[in-house]
Amino acid sequence: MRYTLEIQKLLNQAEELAIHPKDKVKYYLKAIYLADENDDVEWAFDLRISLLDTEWGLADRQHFIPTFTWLLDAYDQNPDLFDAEELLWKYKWIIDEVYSNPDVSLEQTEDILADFKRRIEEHGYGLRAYYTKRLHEALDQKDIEKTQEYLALVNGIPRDNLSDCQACEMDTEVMTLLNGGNFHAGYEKAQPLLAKQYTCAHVPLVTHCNLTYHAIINKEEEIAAQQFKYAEEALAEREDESSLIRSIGQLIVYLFHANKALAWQYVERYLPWNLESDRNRSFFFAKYMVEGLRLENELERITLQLPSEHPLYNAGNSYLIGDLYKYYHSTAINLGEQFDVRNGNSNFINQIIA
Amino acid sequence: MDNAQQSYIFQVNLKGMISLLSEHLYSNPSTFVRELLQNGVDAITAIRSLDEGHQGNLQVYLNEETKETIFEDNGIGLTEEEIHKFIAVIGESSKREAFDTNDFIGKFGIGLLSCFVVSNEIVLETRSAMGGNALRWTGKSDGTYQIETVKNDRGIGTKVILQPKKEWVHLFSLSALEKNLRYYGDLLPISITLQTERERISINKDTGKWLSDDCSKEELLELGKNTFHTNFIDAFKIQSDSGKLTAIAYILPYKTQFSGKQAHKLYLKRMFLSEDDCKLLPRWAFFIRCIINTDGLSATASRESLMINDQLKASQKEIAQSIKDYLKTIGLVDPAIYHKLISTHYLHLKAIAAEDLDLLRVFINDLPFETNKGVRNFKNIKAYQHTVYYTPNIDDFKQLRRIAESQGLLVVNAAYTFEEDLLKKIQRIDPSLTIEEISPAHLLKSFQDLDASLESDYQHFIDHANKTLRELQCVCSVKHFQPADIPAIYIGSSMNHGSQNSSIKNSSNNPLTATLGAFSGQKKESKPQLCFNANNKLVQAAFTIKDEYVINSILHILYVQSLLLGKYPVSDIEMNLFNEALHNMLIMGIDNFINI
Repeated sequence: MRYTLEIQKLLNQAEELAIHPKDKVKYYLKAIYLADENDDVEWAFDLRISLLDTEWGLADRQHFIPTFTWLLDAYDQNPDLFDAEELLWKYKWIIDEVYSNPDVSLEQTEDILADFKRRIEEHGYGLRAYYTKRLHEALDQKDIEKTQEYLALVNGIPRDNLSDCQACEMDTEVMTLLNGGNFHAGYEKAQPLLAKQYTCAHVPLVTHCNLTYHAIINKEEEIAAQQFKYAEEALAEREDESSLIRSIGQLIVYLFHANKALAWQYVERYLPWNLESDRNRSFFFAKYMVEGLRLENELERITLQLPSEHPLYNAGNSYLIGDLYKYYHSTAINLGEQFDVRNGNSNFINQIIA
Repeated sequence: MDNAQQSYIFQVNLKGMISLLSEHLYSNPSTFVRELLQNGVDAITAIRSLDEGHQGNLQVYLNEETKETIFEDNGIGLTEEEIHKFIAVIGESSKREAFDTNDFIGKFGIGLLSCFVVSNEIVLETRSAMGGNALRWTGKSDGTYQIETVKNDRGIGTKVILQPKKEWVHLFSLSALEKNLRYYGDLLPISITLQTERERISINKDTGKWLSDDCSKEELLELGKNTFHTNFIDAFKIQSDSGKLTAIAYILPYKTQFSGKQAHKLYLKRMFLSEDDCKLLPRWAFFIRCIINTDGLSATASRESLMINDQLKASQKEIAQSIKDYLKTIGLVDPAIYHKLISTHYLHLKAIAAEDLDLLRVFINDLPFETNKGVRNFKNIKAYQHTVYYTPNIDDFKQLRRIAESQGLLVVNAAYTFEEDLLKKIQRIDPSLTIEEISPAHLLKSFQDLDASLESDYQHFIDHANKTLRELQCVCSVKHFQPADIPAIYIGSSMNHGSQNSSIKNSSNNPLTATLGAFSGQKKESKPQLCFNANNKLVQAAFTIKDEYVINSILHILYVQSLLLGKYPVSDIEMNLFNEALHNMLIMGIDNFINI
């Protein structure tokens, strides 16, 4: 059983407080390799769950789908060995990931949703979690009609252990109102979240970001400034969570309205996160960059340290704002088209404000 | 019926409330020492606003036999009205309104209640500087209290008399009391003495010099040694205007991990508050311990940590900047300390430098990296070869180490994510450098292919190897590479999800299986590869063997040997194959084996 000791050592390293989540991922992968090598399915299962937990905070979730595919197979082959609720919770994350990849066809997505639905029903849960997934996608597509439809379905079913936490559910309702153009109703709805009556890993941080963005485009400068301040404070606690890049895009739009110098600092600081994001996050980040950059003079040059992997990178660190705008505009169009082709509509492209 | 709505007032169970506040608010039963010291300091601060030259002092008397303990101050004292208002009304915010409340440490009107944790009764005798008789207030933990006039003519000030509960009597031994008084009060600017029938002990004589004076570095280090029992590498002072904060930062003399927190000494208005840094220090400062005093930040209700507010955040930034400023200049000020700092804390310094280009510029040349040629600083690495190669994970590094050596390449082990970030940032600072990631697969590609004329001779061997090792998911090839004494090199798969070697197999019923292709993207998973070395004598000899039984055994032995060389784990199945192969060799006769 020497390998279990080796796995434990790797876990100790992975659980060090201040190591970067990407380093944690490396340790988990190594431990998974050992567990698989020694045919220890229980260890392999638990370690893969930890791997998912760690990658959840990252924009780069390259192991998400292969890992969960294995988990689902392992569960089906040994249903008595593992906790179904844990697995179904992770399934919810996976559905987001599947929606975020336009190369996954609608048919494949529907198969996966049907599988999820079947499993939650078999285990005696209600369909609230299932409709919440559809609601989130409708929100991403800014499809007001479907959003209302799914919100009604979600609220028609009682909460259970697979439901999103109350903070997340309330944040979704706030999003629904903001997306529907009801800023003040959304702001009102968000009050319990802003007072931190309900919190979770990313709420109210993402709520602050949403409100900052919608406040500034609704010309509520004071609310935007206040929400930005809270968002920035909450962000300081989550310095390595690159999965937040989409929300940061919203803050960048605000900053191009309110504090251009800080906007460029944000762009410089957070662009590396975007480079490793999935296409959904990349679409929204590009869309927000377009909204921010269009407030700038496209003929001006800016000194900016882009990551060397960035397609526009040059060693001189000097960029024409117009070039940056064109790049993000074409990125948003390109990604939006990919999603729209998959979805058979124009909901993503319609969200780009040029 | 009268429609007028009647208002009612909530009723409070006083006994329950006292129990709640006294026993549950504070995490430590010794808190009463801090609270009583604090009340004394506040009373003296208050009288000083009337008489600037007042010499305040706090006396603690311990009757070693009965354990009765008296805390006495010569502060402003309390009038009867103040007793009713401040001592007996729970939650009465702030101390004496007539004075600037910012001068006081406490402000919640609940501190005295902490005494009920250790004593069923609190007796407070006081005479106010504002006039009136001396008074005795006796409070009980059931929520009742009495006030009486005291006839004997006592001086201005207050004393609190406690009779310890049996279960807490150990806190009232001379040594325990002295220890707690020092723990909380060692930095207080008002003289504290502990007195028994036998002796008189000064608690805080000549402390706090570092707060005002320009102490020498030796004095700071001496203070650090006495406080933390550690011989630190260096010490430097930090000032933060936002938190009206002064601190001494000490550099630890030993390596620290990225886990665990350092214990510090944090004082609020010179009263000890916490061993935690209460988020004042940046998260990367694992190699620093601090003594901190703040006059401007606020405590939480339990007075065991600081409130997180704008002032605290501004202080955080100032402290982080001060530490960075120190790090940027220490090399010029004292090169010996600079080098010791780097050799001890290079991991943390790398993590900071990866986030701060200015700091990176300062440290860049001296930061050490593990390479296949031992630990070298970056100056040395870039002098060695124009292209700096690195591996972003330890497994690749282990595998590459020896082969790279034989190719004359220097490869850096960038096992931590921040090391990779750091190398990318170095590239940015110095565009003349080329810094490239290298992987075993990359190196494999650089190996020399066999001549076409030779290839046909080895084809039988390769075909056989692929067939034999197919069950182990391994793809075989033959190339020329150095060093010649390595018969074969095993390159693991990219371990994207590490499931090739799992007994759990993909099910066609799993709807996610169909999507795997959509997620593989650029990072197509490669199968493990076994590359035989055509320069190796054993391999050259193996090419000539036609006997299937022998060749299978040799292939299994070479396969497991290459796993071991590459530090890959060897599974039970593989170990069995290895043992079986050796067994086969034994059966065939060791002489024949040697003759191969």
